[in-house]
Amino acid sequence: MRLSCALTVVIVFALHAGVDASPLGVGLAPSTYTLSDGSRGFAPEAFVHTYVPLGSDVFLRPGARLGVRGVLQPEMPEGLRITERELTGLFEAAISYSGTVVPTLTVMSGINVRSIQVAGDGVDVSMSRVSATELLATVSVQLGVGLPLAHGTWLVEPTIRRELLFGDSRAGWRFGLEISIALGTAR
Amino acid sequence: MRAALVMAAVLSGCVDTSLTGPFQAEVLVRTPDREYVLRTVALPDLTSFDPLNDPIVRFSDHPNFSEAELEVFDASSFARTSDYSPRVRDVNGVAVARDLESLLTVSAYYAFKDNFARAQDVFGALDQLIPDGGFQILVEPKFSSELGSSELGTNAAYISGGQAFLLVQMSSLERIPLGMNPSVLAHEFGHHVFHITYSKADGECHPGDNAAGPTPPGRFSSAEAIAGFNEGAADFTAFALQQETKVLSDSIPALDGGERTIDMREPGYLAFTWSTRDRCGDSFYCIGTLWVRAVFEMYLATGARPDDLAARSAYARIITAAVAGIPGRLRQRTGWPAPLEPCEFAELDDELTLVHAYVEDFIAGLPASLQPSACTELAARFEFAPVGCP
Repeated sequence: MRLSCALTVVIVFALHAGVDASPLGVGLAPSTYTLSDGSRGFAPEAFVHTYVPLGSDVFLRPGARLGVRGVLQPEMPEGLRITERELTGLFEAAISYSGTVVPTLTVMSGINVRSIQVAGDGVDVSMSRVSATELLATVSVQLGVGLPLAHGTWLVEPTIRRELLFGDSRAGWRFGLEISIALGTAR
Repeated sequence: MRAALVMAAVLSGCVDTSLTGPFQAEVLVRTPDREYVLRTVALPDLTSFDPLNDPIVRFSDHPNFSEAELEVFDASSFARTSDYSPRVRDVNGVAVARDLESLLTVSAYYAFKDNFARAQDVFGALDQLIPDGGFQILVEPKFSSELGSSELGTNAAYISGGQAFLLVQMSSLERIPLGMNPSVLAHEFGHHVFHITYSKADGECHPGDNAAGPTPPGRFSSAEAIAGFNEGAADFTAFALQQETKVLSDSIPALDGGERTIDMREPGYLAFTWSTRDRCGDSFYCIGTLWVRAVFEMYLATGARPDDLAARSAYARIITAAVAGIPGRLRQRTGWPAPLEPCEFAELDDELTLVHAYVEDFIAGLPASLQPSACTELAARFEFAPVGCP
């Protein structure tokens, strides 16, 4: 919890430092993770980041992203369902090396706003207090290997992310693909 | 803007519980009108939610068992399991589940405790009814083999060697999750009653006891027909504890199909006998259904009503005592075929002798007042003339 807060502060400062940097990269990041029944969930994100030169071919890449989770739900009984849907806001800071490929190590921190809804079919849920909205702090570490295309205008980056959700031990590994386009000077 | 973001980060994740006993929780309850409702109940025996346990029940988290471990399932199989804690939040002193699995486990805890209390009323001071070490309840276990890892779907189960119950992964096949259905949990508890009566009386088979004749312990437990009678005894326990006559119907109406209904007055009741048990799917469950249907009709023949708890309790003790006496009487018979493999006996088609002997020895263990109706009902369903019957 304290780690999440401290990390967010650091990342916000990093983001602030990058405001004057260029170029901006904007993109989409579909990803998949394991649902509680063992099937695969889908979690798309949209992100923006920028590049701050730190040295020869090494960049700080601060950014922010917004994602949703709960597009797919685990298999549930017909009579009683509890759906969980999330909106996630993350700040991130990455160290990136610009070479033939672009390996990146990213730390992220932010908040999940989770909507929990209970529904019954033949089950009386009128007195239930299960339905609620929760705020959960989150911290993640992500490894990615970017493949620059069209002289760096596009970056396609397979990623693997380890998520930690404070108050929810079910979070785990997430696999995704980030696709971004450079706005302004090419990367 | 930055300050707001930092503040949001500080405030986020502040979801914890400050619950202290005596506990209350929101669980799925079945009302006397057979309706299901989410409501707040008291859990007076619960020690804690983190982990979920009390002096006789301990929940274990997602254990993963290998094929080899399943061969010999006993208390040592659980050495690697860890405590399970449902994810709940404190809503004015009431524990409210934050996800479906947590609602399942807390509801299952409530339903198990309800069944244990009823069992102590119904069966009385049956030795090890509540075992000295209590029960372990395994939440959504996985089973791995050379072919990979899998999760059993849509089931609840009892493991006699470990005094444990399994709550298996929920699925869309269920209406009411099996693990939240008090009748299904009563059925599983019925397997425990069969274990501490019939199976304990029969003894434990050891691979070295691969001899012909009735002598080896466990000789009359591992046959498939006995597994069928075990299922029948479990359905009878569901009737004794919950007045249940169609154990699956609330959870899996599509699979219930009338073949598991024990009351012939129920709509959809599927009639069959030993020779027509293919109508029931021809599984060993059908043997148990034939037996429990007979036992149910015998109960009605006494003039007692199904909703008479005192009568059900008295009757359940008689039936349980008769079942417990069967292995001893089977052992006195001679001419049993040799085991095919250590602790593995004849296939179902060859077990008719065992089925008939089980039925006859069950009747022999009943009071004289019940034997005439037992003879009538069991002879009609198993289509033979039991020795000792008029």
